[in-house]
Amino acid sequence: MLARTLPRPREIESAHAWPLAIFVCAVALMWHDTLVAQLTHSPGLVPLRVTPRLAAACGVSTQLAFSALEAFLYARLWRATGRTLPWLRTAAVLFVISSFEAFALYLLQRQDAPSFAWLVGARALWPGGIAITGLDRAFGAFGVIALMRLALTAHVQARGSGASHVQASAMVLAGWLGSRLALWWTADLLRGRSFGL
Amino acid sequence: MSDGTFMQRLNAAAIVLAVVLLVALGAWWWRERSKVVATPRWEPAQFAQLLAPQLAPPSDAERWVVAVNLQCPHCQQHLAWLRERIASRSTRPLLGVLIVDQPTRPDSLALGALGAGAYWDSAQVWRETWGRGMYGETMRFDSHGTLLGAAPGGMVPDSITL
Repeated sequence: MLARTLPRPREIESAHAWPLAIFVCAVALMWHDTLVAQLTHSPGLVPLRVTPRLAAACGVSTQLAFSALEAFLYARLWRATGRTLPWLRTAAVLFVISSFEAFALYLLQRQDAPSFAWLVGARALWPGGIAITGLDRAFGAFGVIALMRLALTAHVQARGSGASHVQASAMVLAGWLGSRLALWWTADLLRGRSFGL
Repeated sequence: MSDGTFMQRLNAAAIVLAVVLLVALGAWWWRERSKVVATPRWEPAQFAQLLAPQLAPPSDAERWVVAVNLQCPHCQQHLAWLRERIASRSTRPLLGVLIVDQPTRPDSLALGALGAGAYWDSAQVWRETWGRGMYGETMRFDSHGTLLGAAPGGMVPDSITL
C-alpha cells in the first residue's frame, strides 16, 4: 500500500534491456583485457599462482559485484528519502560507467602516464605506482575521469529515481566521500596490522 | 506494523548504523594517528645479530630490510622472491631480515645469504617504537640508515611500474 504513495520512478529511457546487456558484455571484455595487460606487465608484483586470464576474470566478477552492491546501497539510500531506484538496471549502468576506470588503468600503464595526472589523478605521479599512505590510496584516483564518473552516476540516479540532479549529485557525493573516508582510515589502520599467518 | 513500515524502519536503521560505524572508524583512526611513533632508522646495534652481513657493503648501497615473522610463510616467500628480483641488478641493495614478534631468540635460521645480515628484534622496536605491524614489509634505508620508503610484501620497493 505504501508503495502506491511513493513517487513513481522514471525509467532510464535510453537504457533498454538488450542494448544495456550488450554494453555490459563489451565492458566486461574491456575490463578483462585491461586487467590481463596489467597483470602481465607488472614487474613489481609477486608472480600469480593462477593465470593472468583467470585472475582477470575474478577481477571482472569483483567489479560486477561491486557495481551491484553500489547500486543496492544507493537504492536503499533513495528508499529512505521515499524514492525508488531500480537497482538492477542501475547496477548494469554503473558497470558500464566503470569502463572509465578501465580506460584510466590503460593510461596508467603507458610510459607517459604522469602527463595524464589531470585525467587519472595523482596516482599517475606516485613513484613505482605505489600508494604510500591511506590518503593516497583513497584520493589518488581523483581526476577528471573520476569527476565524469561521479557526474554520470548522479545523472543515472536522477533519471532512475525521479529526483533532481542537485539531489542526486548530493547523494552521490555523500556516498563517494563516505566510501573514500572509510578507505582512507581503513588503509591507515591496516598498515599497523599483520596478515599472512 | 505493516511490512512496508517495518522495511522502511529497517532501512533507516541500516543507514544510521552505517553512519555510526563510519564515525567510529574515524575516531579509531584519530586515536591511532595521535600516537607518537619514531621514524624507522636502520641501526643494527639496537637488534640482536643472528646472521652476520655476508658482503662487504659498498659505501652507498641501500639496505632493504624485510620484516619477517617466523610463523609467516608469505614473508619468507617474499624474501626469496625479492632476492631473485634484485639478483641481476648491477647495483644491488643489500638485503637484510629483521625477525619480529619473536619472543625467544631463534635457534636456527634458513634464510639464505643476506648482504645486510639477519637480526632479532628482541626489544620490539619494530612494533612499539616504529609503530609498524605488517609482516613481509620491506623497508628501504640509505647507507646512513635513513628510511627512504617502504613497500608491502609482494612488491619491489623501488619498482617503477605497478
